[in-house]
Amino acid sequence: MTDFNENLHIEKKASGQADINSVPFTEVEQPGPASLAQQAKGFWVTFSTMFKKNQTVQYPDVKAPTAPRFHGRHQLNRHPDGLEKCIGCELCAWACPADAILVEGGNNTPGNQMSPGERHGAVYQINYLRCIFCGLCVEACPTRALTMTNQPAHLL
Amino acid sequence: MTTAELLGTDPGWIIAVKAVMVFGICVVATLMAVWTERRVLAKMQLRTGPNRVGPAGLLQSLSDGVKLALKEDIIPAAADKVVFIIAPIIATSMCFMAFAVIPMTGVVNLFGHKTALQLTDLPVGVLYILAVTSIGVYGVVLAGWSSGSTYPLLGGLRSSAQVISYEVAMGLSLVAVFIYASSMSTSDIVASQHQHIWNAVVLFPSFVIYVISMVGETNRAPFDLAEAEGELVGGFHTEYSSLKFALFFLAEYVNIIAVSALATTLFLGGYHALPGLGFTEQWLGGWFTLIWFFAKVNLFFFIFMWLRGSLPRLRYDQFMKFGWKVLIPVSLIWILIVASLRVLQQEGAPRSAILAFAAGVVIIVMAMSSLVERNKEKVRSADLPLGEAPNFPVPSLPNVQSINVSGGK
Amino acid sequence: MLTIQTPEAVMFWFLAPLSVIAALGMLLVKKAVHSALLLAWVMITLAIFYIAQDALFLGIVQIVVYTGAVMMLFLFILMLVGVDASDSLTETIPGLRPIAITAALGFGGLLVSLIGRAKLGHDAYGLTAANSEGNVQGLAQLLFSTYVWPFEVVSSLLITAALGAMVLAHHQRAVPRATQREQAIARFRGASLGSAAGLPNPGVFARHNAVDVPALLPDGSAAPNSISATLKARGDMLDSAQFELGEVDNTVTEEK
Repeated sequence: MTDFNENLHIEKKASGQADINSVPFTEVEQPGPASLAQQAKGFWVTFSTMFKKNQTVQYPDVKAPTAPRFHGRHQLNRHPDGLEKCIGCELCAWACPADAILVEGGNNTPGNQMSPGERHGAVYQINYLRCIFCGLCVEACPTRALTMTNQPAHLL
Repeated sequence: MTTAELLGTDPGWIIAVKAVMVFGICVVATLMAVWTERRVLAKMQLRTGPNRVGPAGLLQSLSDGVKLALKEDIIPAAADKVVFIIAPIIATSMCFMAFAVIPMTGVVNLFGHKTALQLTDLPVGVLYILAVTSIGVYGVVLAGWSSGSTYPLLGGLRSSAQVISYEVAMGLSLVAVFIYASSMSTSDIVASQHQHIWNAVVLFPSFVIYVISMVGETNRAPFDLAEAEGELVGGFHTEYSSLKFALFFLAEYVNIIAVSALATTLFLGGYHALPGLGFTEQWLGGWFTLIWFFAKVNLFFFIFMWLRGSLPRLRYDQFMKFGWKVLIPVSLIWILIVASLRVLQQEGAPRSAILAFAAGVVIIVMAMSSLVERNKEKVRSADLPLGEAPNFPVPSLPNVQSINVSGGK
Repeated sequence: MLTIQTPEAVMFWFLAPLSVIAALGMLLVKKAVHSALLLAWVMITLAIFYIAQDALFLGIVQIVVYTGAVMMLFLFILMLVGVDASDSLTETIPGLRPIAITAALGFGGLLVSLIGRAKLGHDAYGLTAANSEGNVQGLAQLLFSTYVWPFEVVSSLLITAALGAMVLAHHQRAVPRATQREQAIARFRGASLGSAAGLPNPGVFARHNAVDVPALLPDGSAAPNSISATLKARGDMLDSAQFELGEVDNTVTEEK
């Protein structure tokens, strides 16, 4: 990794030596009040907007398709063979800035092999009243067990 | 038979019924106004607005009112308790009182009694409205003071200064109407407009000044400095909650409807129909005039909404400057012109004299404005000594510190 | 002859004691704003009396001018200056009390003699005669014909007073207003660069965020710069040390 400051040649001056007054600048002429016709234009903008189509989506009634990378409801994934990917490591819970995730790990026993390896997530809860859908939990997950769908996590 | 004589024959129970009707109209109009404003403003911003409570959201403001009434009523510890409680009562009761002299219909039949929907007719009705609204502002000012906190105090201060300066402009704009109608009674002014022409046409400058100062008087955008939410949290009503806040809310909207109704009465011919549609006034036994009246009031209300949707809030000093240096001088000059024209007309002066007078006024105004412009240029180009104290003794002033800008020590 | 009707008498006996009590209260209450409010109430009751006596215009104008404008200005000044019960009531000018009493007696005597001269030995002119052309017209007739000279004298006196106040309060800018660039340069040229990027905000993070609590500098000392000059002048500052975090406990107990 290169040092970014390497290429910058800043001549360090002793304090009081720098001449701020000589820094070139252009005086900007303030435009002053616009003409009456110009000001009336603004009123026309608001008036004509009244007859344009609304941008509001009536959300619970109308569900518009979400964007491809929308941060939606969480999803816990499985391996193709049916075993859970979650290993109960709690990294997602630690990453969560809103403290919305509760994970309790459990041991895999020979009769109850939930996931590859020794541990699995026995309790996995996300409190959607606290979740801010930042996705930090997804970034923290070491096994890609936790991902986000792009379905809105609506509470209704 | 004039309206005053007609109203004089009212028995007591009719007066009581009309008082209840006026009260009911004000409250229902407020509920509708809040809904309309939210919907129209939403449309101006490509939104929908409240549409979930009741058909098309019509009951939204009603449910908001119920919600407000059921909230906890808090009186801050630092508040002056008596004044804190009295303030919203003053604000609300006064704006309802203003409606007493507004003529809302022509002659109608109310429960078999021939009367007009106007509570009373005073020979100085318009001044009465001014008086009542000026007391109503006490509510705002006292609310700001009694809350015992900084932002409400600032809101109250702003409001009192605002009212003093804009009421002068408002009063002056009404003088021209009084001169033209030669009466200060609302019903006489409506009648005189019916005989001649709407005051908004002949007294157009007065009309414009009144509309501007009525926005200032009701603390509405772009003049809503008393409750500027970006600067003063909520202004004078920051510390108010529950029903007391609801009362201020109600007062604000009734006030808007009252000043709009006054504007309708004074400048747009009151309850009379548009010129050429006079036959509609007889429909529904005369009650159709109420529809004309509210159509005109709604026109003003739309102007209020339109202003709020289009303009940002004025800076306080610009607002004061506009009131004192533009509105008041302009209305003073306009009153002089109107009075002179009126006297010329009454003395039966020939048309040429009137034209000469008008030309003279135009020349004087143009000369004055060019002088003012030249003086402005002079002030702008005058060189102030840079960075050094003047060579005459000046008192030391607070908040002025000399800034060394010439560079060097 | 004047006849007093029952409604008017009822109103009088209802409002007159109220207005007298309010007038007394105006003199006796401690807070200046309460006093101003009671005065406004006295003015309103007076206006109602005027209206009851058929002087409608006078009553309304009393409310518009005195209650609406003059008292509002009073309130404005009271709120702006912040006059409070805590203000000192000691006499700053020696001998003010006798002067005030003499002036009050003289003014009272003047009022009594004037009203006496107007009333004693004269017959009442009568309302119907005075209002024959209408109340407003009658007043206007008197104001702009018989009494035009006193009217103008009083108005010129008031205008002179207002102009005098404005001249006394006016100050001319001695140096040009600093432009944004000049202010920026001055900030960097100042004795300390501490304020170059703006002053710190008041309040101690997460503990107390009121405007009267100075911010804490990284070394734990208070930053007086973070408090508005007004609060500092008033002495309304809290000690921010009490909101300082003590030794941060960052030992973590291992959970088994």
